[in-house]
Amino acid sequence: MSNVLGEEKQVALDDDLELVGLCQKGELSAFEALVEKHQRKMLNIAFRMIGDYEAACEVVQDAFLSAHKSIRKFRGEAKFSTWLCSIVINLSKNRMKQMKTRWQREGVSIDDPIETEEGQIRRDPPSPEPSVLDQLEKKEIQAKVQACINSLEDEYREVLILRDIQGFSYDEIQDTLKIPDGTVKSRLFRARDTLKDRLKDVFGDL
Amino acid sequence: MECKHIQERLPAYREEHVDLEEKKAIEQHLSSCQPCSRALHDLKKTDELIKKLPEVEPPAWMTQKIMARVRAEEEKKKGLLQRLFYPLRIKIPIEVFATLLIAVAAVYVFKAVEPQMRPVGPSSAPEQGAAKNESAEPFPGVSTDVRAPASKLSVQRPTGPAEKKEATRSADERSRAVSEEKRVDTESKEAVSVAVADKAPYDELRSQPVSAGKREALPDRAERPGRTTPSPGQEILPPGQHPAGLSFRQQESVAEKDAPAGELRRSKSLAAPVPVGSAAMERRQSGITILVRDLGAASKEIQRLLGRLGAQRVVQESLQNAEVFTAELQAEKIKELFEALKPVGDVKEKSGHTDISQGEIARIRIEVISQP
Repeated sequence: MSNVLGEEKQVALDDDLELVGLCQKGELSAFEALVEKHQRKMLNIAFRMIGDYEAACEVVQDAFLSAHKSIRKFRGEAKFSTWLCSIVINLSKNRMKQMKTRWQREGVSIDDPIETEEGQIRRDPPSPEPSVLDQLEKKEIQAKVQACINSLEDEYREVLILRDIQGFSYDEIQDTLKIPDGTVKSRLFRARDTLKDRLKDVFGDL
Repeated sequence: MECKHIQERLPAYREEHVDLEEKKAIEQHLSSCQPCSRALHDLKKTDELIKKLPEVEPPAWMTQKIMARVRAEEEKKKGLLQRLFYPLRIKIPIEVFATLLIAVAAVYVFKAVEPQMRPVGPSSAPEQGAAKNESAEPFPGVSTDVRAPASKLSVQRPTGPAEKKEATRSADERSRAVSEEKRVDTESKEAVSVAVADKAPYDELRSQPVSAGKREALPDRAERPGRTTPSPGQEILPPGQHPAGLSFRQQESVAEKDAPAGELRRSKSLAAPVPVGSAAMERRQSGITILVRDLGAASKEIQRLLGRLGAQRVVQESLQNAEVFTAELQAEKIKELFEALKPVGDVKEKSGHTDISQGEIARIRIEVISQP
């Protein structure tokens, strides 16, 4: 899968550079093409980062706007998609912070995604049955997985999303997050292990 | 302890990020340890769960919304220059046209203002004034001095602070003259105050006994302001004012040619025989002062003389102890006039007519002063 994605990106790189060049000359249609091309992926990253669709949509808009503002500063050292992705991740993290402080201020609603310092998920004790997975609706499972992802710390969540959900290569993650390769891997492995534990806490046996 | 370490390494093991030795050790441990193989299973399951997470679709309006915001931002960002010139094919012609319009307007305004801005030499000033009068009034008539305002106008316009100083000085002199008049004659005081109040003193002038019955009819009131007040702030000399004061004003306005101040002051006095200060005449204007015993008879005689010599635009002005004639005369006749005046009284020529070429029209001013 990553191989396929890799090829796709290679092609995308060339296209993007051309479009980015036009954007830098002030071609709005070129930027529109870039928006069309990348919005889905960026929305998914933002959505997995935040766990809230509406907020993710806003973050993606802001990210594109910010990208357009500073497109002249883009020198092509990294791929455009990587550059854009780093903007989305940063804005998403900011949004998470805002939401967290708001929750802390306003108190937690039962409709809110599970926000834990390992608390809320733990409160749902593992059921004695071998596995709840089979009894749950698909959507519920997804919601809980998302909740577990959200419960991860930022640095684990971002690598996990980029690698395991978006299928980024290690190099791309390195470029996007501006952290060394070793750190990417150690964080990723740590993130998976933690997520596994959180999922076990939620679902009992996997 | 062993298990915990193994479980921590499991994700790396799954990604084949362990060296061969560690890999063998982990595999060995997994085969014998139930919880650790369970953990590996859980990891795989976790991975599956994550991968099963569906992708979300962006809302249909997303692109439009982003682009709308980008365009709005663009508009805001657009600099003043860009906004000024943006649709080049529309705005450039408009701007070119506007520039041309401004240029044309500027040239027009400059042309309209320029004649007044040109410094006018004293010599050409009276001519200008005369020309103006000619067009304004086709027939000669009695009038207060027209030259003074005319020349004053031409000099006052272009100058700056110097002119101001001069204006204040002349005002000062005038007020002094006024105070003198107070002492001398209450009637003339009235006349002066009327003049200062900018009420045309023509009635005063009319009522005054002007020597000859031959005198030309006075032009009507409506016509006068046009002639005698060519510029705002220009005052008409009161008829009762002293001739010396009059000539002083002229001289001041003509740019202080050659009369020392002391002489001027002396010339202000009523009894002063000949005001030397009034020698400062415009070059094309001959000034003649005649001291006579009988003012009325002399005036009649001079009127007759001027008529005989074909003088044009004869203006007679009656002052308290004097009659002032101004007229336009053929240059070659001036000499003749000068000779003819000699029997009338004590003639003093104040400014020469030597530089007036033949055939030219010259203005002459004859001050007839009664001598006790």
